[in-house]
Amino acid sequence: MTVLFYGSLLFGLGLVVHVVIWRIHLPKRQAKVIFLLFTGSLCCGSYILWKYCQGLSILGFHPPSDLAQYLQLWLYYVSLTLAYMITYSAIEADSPSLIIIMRIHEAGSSGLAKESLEGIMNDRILIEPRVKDLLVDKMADFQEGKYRLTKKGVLIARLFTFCRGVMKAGKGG
Amino acid sequence: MPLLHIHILSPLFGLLTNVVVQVSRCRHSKNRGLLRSVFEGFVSGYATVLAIEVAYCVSTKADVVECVGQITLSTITYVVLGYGYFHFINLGETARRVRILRELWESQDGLSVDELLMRYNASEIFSIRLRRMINNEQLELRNGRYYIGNPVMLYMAKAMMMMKLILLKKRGEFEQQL
Repeated sequence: MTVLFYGSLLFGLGLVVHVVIWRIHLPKRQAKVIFLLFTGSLCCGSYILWKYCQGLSILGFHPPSDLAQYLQLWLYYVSLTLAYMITYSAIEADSPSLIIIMRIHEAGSSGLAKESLEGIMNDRILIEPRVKDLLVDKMADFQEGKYRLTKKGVLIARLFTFCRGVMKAGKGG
Repeated sequence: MPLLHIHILSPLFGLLTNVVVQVSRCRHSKNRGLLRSVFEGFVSGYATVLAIEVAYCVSTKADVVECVGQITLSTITYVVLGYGYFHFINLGETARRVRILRELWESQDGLSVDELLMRYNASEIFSIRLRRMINNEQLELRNGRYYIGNPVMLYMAKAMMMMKLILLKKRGEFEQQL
């Protein structure tokens, strides 16, 4: 329970700092900043707990005291961070599926005709912002009127192509 | 690290089981659907976590409180890892960025906007999603009109909107900040 308590506490602190920063100023490369912020929170928090808080007790919980407990804390914290980062991608960009669901919900008991939905789904809203994201995240560059992948983009494209291939799944999208 | 402490990594062993079972179910029973393979993988992984933790508790004769605490921590860590894996699969299945990356990768010399839109566009995105949500019973089509089916997606949409409001101070990408 000690690991669960202190792991949740460190993650909660990281989350509070994240919300405060986001409310003040939205970073340009959001995923990267979230990664740095939570990694920093884990490293600093673990160091402070290890070095200065061994006599401390919060709600009856003493900080982790051996390497095994710290390993568990790191595993728990990293799992939470990865899960949060992957969820954040759906916060950062509007999901077409969720837009469709909300529009149908707003239409109430009479439902929504297909034509009404088509009006809100166009290339300017669905494709162009995602292409711009690739440029911001340095996964692609734009030269001579064409988008081309950078090394980082190729790596990620290969990773997903491999995973989809292993599952014998289609292109997706 | 003593062998005794290997159980600390039980959530990772669970995740490994989850991935192996999910991929093999997906490969060998395509017509049963991706979501079902995710569920089967998740349950198998959790069984692995429980087996490791119970074996640890029995072999060390640890007290009940310590065992419950350990199993709770491993369960939560595994559930969070499983959630992350589900979203990773979902990214490959639905993310527009990933699909655009793949289209650019498959092209020999990059793509202009028009060439990209020939391969992947809003109309296709719209059709794929409607078909997927009807197949998963998240939407119902009656007399040419769409209705909410299983409300789980609606709850997710509302939760996402709440998080957008808290973090981004707006409900959607194209809405002005509040």
